[in-house]
Amino acid sequence: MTTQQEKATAHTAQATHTKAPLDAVTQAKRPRFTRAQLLAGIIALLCLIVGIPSWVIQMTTVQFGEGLVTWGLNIDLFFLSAGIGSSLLAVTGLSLFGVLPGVYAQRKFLSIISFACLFVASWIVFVDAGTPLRVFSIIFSPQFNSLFVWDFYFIALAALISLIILFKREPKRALGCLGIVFGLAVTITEGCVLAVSVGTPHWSLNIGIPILFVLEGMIAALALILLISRVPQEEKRLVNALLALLAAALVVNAVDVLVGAYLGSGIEATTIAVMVVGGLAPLFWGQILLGLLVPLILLAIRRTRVSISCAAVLAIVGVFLGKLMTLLSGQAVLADGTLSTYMPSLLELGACVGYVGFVLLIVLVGMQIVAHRAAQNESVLVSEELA
Amino acid sequence: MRYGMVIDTSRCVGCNACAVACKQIHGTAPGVFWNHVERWEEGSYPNARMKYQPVMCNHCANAPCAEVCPVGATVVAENGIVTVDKERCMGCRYCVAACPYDARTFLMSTEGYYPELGIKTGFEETKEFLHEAGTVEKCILCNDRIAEGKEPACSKACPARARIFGDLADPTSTIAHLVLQHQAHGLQEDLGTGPSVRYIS
Ligand code: SF4
Ligand code: SF4
Repeated sequence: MTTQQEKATAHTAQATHTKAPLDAVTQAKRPRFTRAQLLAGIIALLCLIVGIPSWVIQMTTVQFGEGLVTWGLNIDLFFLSAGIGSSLLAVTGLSLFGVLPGVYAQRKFLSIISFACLFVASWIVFVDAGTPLRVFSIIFSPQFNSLFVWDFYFIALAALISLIILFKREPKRALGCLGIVFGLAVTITEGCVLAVSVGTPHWSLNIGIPILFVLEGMIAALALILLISRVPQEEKRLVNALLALLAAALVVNAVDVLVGAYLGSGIEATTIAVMVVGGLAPLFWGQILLGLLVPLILLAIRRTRVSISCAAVLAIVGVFLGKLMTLLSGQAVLADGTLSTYMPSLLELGACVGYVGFVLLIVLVGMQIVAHRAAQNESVLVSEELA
Repeated sequence: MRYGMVIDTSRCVGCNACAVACKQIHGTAPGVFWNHVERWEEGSYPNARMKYQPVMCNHCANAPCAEVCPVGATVVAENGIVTVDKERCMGCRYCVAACPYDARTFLMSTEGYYPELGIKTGFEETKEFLHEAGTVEKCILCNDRIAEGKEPACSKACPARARIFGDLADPTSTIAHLVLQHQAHGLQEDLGTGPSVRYIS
């Protein structure tokens, strides 16, 4: 990585301070909040006011959504959060090879978001577990034949790598390599968690699910980068990549449905019917049209800042809907052929709002820490120069 | 040793005695059935018939529920019975998703049948220790009764002798004999779960 790039990034967290005045050189000045950060802080606070009581009630009284579905909105948010966090890490890792200098310049900011998403994904596992304290058994007595355990450890490792990238001055390529490997490992393992579940015909041995999870993770990560980071020199490449990923996700979804409808029988055939024309149709078509097709068209025909931002937002919403769709479609038909129903409870919705607030809070705190460290480093440099 | 059960659906009269006996023995919560009888109609008037199929945990030899459990709460015992250790279960519900037979229940509450009275009946109190909210539970083939040399409550209660309990691994047992004689089949055997509950139809 060149020194120029390094210089361009020195303040990734967009620290508000510029030059430390001479009288304050020995005492690092705590950077102020920008307006955007203040706004994000207020949103985070409001979300947490709703979220924290919901988490407490959910953890102490074991309340989940209404209906027969085993995994609902909480797990959707878990997959989304882990997917974004790990895929951001993979993209950041790639940038350490010098291929995406704009992303490299933003690596600290992106690593904070990646860490926040991965941390909150682990938190969701706690909130969603029936007996939260026993989740620690995954650490103390893990059963490695369960992919869930691998997923848990991959998430932990990915979060650790994000932190190292965040605090290292010049992260090495080996670290980038690890970031790519573990970033992808998280999404692939999560897809496989569903794909090995023989109890669910729509998931089991469906190779499309791990592929879809990787694609969806990357879509959300790139969309987020385009939405919140300034990477003008790479915008074209990132948009092209997003376009290709959206098209690929569309194809995988289409193949999944067509193969299921053509070859499937019994529960699988009923599941496809429920997805395409039944109770899950609004979700399915919402994902296909709003989350994949519209952003694809927007990016293909016009690339203004507004259209890119709209496409990015829709793509993230599409990933959210897509994961919920995958989860609910797998559980839509019970073993005896009856259809299950699911409606998230207010408590679940509140908990999910809380997760968003938690991610925002961690990102804001992370940015402050990074900015503070940068200020300290700078003041040390100036003192050394004066000495 | 591999405990299992043969269910002769042609003998089942759909009386639900097995489901009731199971609820009595284990004191399961309202709406929770470790064992129930599915019913459907076949044919059309005047040749319509009711069909019954008792269903329960199949105590699979290659239990997918045990394979996916991240903390080893679900295990296949040496005698073939699949159990859930409620002291270990963290309530992640991965096993519920993995079971092809919908044989597992995630217990959201241990409320009794009369929550509006704010009390539990004496019977419910005696069975309370068997259940824990936030964990997953299912049929345990009455392993406590088996340990005492008794047969499971469901097969004991069946008035039509539609359920035969025994050791599938013992070629001299009645159940092994029935499996051979009637080519008794398991549910969704193509999944490779190796169910220990076999059906004669
Ligand atoms: S029937 Fe379901 S719960 Fe019972 S052993 Fe098989 S997979 Fe596990
Ligand atoms: S719910 Fe309990 S028994 Fe089932 S997989 Fe999770 S920890 Fe194991």
